[in-house]
Amino acid sequence: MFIKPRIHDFQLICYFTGKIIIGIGLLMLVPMATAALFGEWPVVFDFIIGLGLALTLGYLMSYIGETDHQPTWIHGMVTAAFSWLVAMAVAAVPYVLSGHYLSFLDAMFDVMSGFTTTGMILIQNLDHVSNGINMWRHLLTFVGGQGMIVMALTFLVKDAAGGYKLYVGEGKDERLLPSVFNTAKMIWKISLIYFVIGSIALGVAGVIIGLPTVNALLHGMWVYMAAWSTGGFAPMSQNILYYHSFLYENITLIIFVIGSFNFALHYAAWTGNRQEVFKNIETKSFAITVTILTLIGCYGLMKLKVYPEAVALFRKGFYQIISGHTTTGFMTIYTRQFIREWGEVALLAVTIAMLFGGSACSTAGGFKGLRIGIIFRSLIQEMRRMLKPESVVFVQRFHHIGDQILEDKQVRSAALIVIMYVFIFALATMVGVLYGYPILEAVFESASVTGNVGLSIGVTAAGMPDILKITYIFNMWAGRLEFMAILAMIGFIIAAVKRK
Amino acid sequence: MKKVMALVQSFFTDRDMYQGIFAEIAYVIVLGMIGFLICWALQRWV
Repeated sequence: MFIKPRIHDFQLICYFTGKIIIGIGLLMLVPMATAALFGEWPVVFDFIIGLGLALTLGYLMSYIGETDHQPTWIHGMVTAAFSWLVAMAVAAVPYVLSGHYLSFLDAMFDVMSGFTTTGMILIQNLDHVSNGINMWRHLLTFVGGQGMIVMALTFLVKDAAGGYKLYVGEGKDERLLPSVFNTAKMIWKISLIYFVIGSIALGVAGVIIGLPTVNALLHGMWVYMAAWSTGGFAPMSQNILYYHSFLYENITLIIFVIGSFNFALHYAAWTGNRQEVFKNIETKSFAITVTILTLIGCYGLMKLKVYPEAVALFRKGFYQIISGHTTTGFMTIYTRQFIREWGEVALLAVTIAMLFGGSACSTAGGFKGLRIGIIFRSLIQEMRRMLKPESVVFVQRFHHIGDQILEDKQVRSAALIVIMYVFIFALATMVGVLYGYPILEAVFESASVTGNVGLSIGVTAAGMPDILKITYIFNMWAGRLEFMAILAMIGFIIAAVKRK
Repeated sequence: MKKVMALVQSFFTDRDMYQGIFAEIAYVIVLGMIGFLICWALQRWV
């Protein structure tokens, strides 16, 4: 159990949270500049209010929290969990002021959906949202994908000891470089280089399909941000279906699959170890599960003759499955087509894909390929053990940035996180069913929010009950941070309120 | 801005980097081709 927290424990958490809130505030300068560029002056004022609030709160928290004490693991974990909640409330201010939300809860839902790279939306009249607000939506998902702590480590808390503790609290536990600050910089470098390539590719594709040049460039940049961070937001309510373009769909597919890779894998591939892309346990596990689930899902669709041509089946069936598997949530069909046309087999395949998710230490959510691979390897090990004499010693290996021996603690850790995912998935499903949604719809939507995916079957809407919105916010938050930080925060609160 | 330009420049000068990017894109293209092959086979035989 935790030791009862002292005042400096609260101060440390307050200090780092304050820094992150300042970061969120400074981030508002980007949509503010965008709005000013397009003459959207009411939106500029909305962001000025948001910026003022964020800076005031951030500096106040940093000032109160200043202390000579050094952060420990518990501070890193609790800060990671707590800062996401405070950031959600602060970042929702420009949303509410924009008039596109029915309540502050809806605005916070969309912010958490963006930060966690889920992509579910409650925004009203999306097709007529200003460029400033659209920039804010996509920037939130882009920063959330890299991690807010990564942003803070890069720009705001360089001198802090214990940066690694904060970094791990956000669900990223692999150092690309010995220093955690250089690791954070490398994550930005990888994302920014792909930002240039992806935005140009999508911008050109936009021009080719007939979008006005400025719109093509803006859409290209926003769709890149949502694809790379496996977020699933798009500037139009029809999502990727709006573009009606095979070229556009394929470019997004390439970006979001690469975006779902482990940052350690990017780093290995970019520093001469190109074979890693094909040898890594995560990319192998991803290729196997995508193939199996495509076979099942597309078989279900073909049986019902939903898409009788191979190209249509690829553009609708395969795209949705891989979008779900990478936890992106881009859609090339209408929401209700899932329930009205797809049939149970295909829906099951997409639901499983959403739960499996992308890679560890990436922008993606879900169980993660690394854990699926580890659990599968341990199952093989157990089977071999049963078939051989007791005296035989087995060593199971796997390849992840180098050959590694499978250890019991890795299997235990992977199994624990998968169990936690299944638990909150079941919880959100139950809440959905209790509110009267059909079981299949509740299961699908719950898998989508828990895995930070964003594909929707139609449950997520401004009219859904507030308790269900709060449950989904919790699932997005817990799924993104991978539970440890949240468990630490709950333990910290219990320790703080108990008498001794 | 200088840093961004340096980043863009590094794409053309850092051989390991752009070959790494091509390897990643190649993986997705292979995966996409498998996906398309499955769709084509299902259309043919189901």
